[in-house]
Amino acid sequence: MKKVIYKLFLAFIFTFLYAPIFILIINSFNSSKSRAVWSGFTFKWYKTLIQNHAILQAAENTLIIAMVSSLIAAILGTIACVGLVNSQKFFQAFLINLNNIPIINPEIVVGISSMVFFVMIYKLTGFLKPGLTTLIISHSTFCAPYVFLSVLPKIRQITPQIPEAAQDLGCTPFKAFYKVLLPEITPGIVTGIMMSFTMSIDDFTISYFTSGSVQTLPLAIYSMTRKSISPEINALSTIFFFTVLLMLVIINIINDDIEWI
Amino acid sequence: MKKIINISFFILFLACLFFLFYKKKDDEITLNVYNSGDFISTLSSGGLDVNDLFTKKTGIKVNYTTFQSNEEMLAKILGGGASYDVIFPSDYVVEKLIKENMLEELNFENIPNHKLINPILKNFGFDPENKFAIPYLFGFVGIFYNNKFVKENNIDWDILWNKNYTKKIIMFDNPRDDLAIALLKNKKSINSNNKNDWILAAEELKNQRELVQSYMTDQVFDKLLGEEAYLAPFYYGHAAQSESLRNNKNIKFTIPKSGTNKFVDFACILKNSKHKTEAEKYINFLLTEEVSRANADATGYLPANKNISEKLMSESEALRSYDMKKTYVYRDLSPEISKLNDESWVSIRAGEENLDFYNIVLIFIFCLLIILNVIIFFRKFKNNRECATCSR
Repeated sequence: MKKVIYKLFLAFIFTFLYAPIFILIINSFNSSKSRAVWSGFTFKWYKTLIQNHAILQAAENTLIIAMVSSLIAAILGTIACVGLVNSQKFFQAFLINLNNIPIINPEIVVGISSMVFFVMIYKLTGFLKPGLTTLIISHSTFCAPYVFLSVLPKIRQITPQIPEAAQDLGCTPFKAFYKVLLPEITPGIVTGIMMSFTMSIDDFTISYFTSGSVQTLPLAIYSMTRKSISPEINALSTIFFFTVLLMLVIINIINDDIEWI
Repeated sequence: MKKIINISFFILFLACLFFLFYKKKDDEITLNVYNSGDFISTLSSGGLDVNDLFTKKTGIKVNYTTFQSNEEMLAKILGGGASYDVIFPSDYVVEKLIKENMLEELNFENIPNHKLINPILKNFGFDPENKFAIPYLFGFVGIFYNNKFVKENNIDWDILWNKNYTKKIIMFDNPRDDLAIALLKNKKSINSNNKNDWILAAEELKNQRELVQSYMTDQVFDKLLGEEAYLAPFYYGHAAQSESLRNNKNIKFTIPKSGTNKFVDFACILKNSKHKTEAEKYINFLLTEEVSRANADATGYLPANKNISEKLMSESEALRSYDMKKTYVYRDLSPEISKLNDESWVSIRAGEENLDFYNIVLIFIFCLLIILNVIIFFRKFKNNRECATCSR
């Protein structure tokens, strides 16, 4: 009896989570723009999506920014972690608290302060015009703490004597890091990258303020809410959803023997 | 095997990155355009893609970005973070931008099509000779209603305060438009300089709040078609506004005879734009008949082009015989009144959700569940503490 209740509860949770997504997917095949009326199955929104350069450009910008900023965030977060375990206790506590600031800070504060900062630098030096570069910088900034938090437990599990032992046996410090430390913390880094990627794609407030004349996908969708959201967005979301699903399925099939998280 | 797959994915990733960045090294001219969302003809609206056509004809690429509201656009431009060439502000925003000296003067030799503009769109107080801004699309605010449920004749603005339609009315989601409707109901000017007019209008809206189903702009037609709402003031261009609306026999449109707001959106060039001539070519292109007709069909509003707009207005029952002298364009309001409106809007929207009985019961049950869980958790924790050899 208990099992049935648990299963029902689980089914209810999953329905609650996925029902909007399924309605989104179904509406991407709806031949009328209105979500209230179903008027026939069609692929036309997918066809027009491929030719809608504005939305495609926005999606492209979003993906580039997500990829580059999650890479930068990964590097920053990993280096910070490695530095952390080799420091004094006081500095460790300080660094962890410092790391929490971008996470706890409201996004709008981060957004407005970044915008003021970049505009000031642009006025003073002519570099860093608000655009793709500033977007990548601000995204890396708020994604790095997440990588840091994912790598930290992994790096604490390693006994610190092991890289030392590797160096005793003749490794250069860099090789000790690369061959001994890095494989142990790779699961943490991968988790961190996946999380930063998602947070970067999803980010609206900070992109809103630091984007200049570049448009990202959340901004493009937001701008459509004044009149009506075109079903091309439904088509694009369906494509995203199935791509991610496919990637996860492939990864799970390949890594059947290793548990990632 | 796994290594090969990992390496090949990584190479694929690098290749993608390389190609995407490589494309950006082109040095064609790119025009940065900042327009309102869903405000131009694209393939998804069933028409031609205006930006593609422009690029084909002139070779100038268009970086087309969109904003959700004029305030968003203003914030970006005045904040100094943007580098747009062509922007599409609304009427009162153009006035603001002219005052802040942010617009370039237009060179009419590059915009010969300005002769094609409809005369009712000329001679606005803030820019009499269209020196800074060229009209792009315009329309009127009116009331959409479902005539299955709304049986009145001679609909005027006070129908939106009619208690028979409680919770079946949808209002705009921005302060200016809603306050304008209240001002029109009170027979005052929508650009009134009198603070009291605005305060009274805000009072009217607060009284109307319990009759309003919701304040929204993007799903209005969905609600009307689904018969979830019967009345909604909205922006109107011409009769063929939306495909699903055309097919529905019950949803009609009317403009109250006492007066209404005419909204005009303009195309302007920002100061310090590096591609002024190309921007002027773009604006000129938008005024041609082919593009005007496409934009009108796609957005449902009237284009600035005289021939097309006159033809579309004559086809619409509501606009055919409407007295144009009773249509008023927004002007920029004094900072004092703008501030007052912002505060009124907050208090109009603030009291929206009233906690009714069911909500309170749900919150109560939720809190009980949390307390139960906390008690159970602490019991378990106490039990486990006695285990000295447990690894935690």
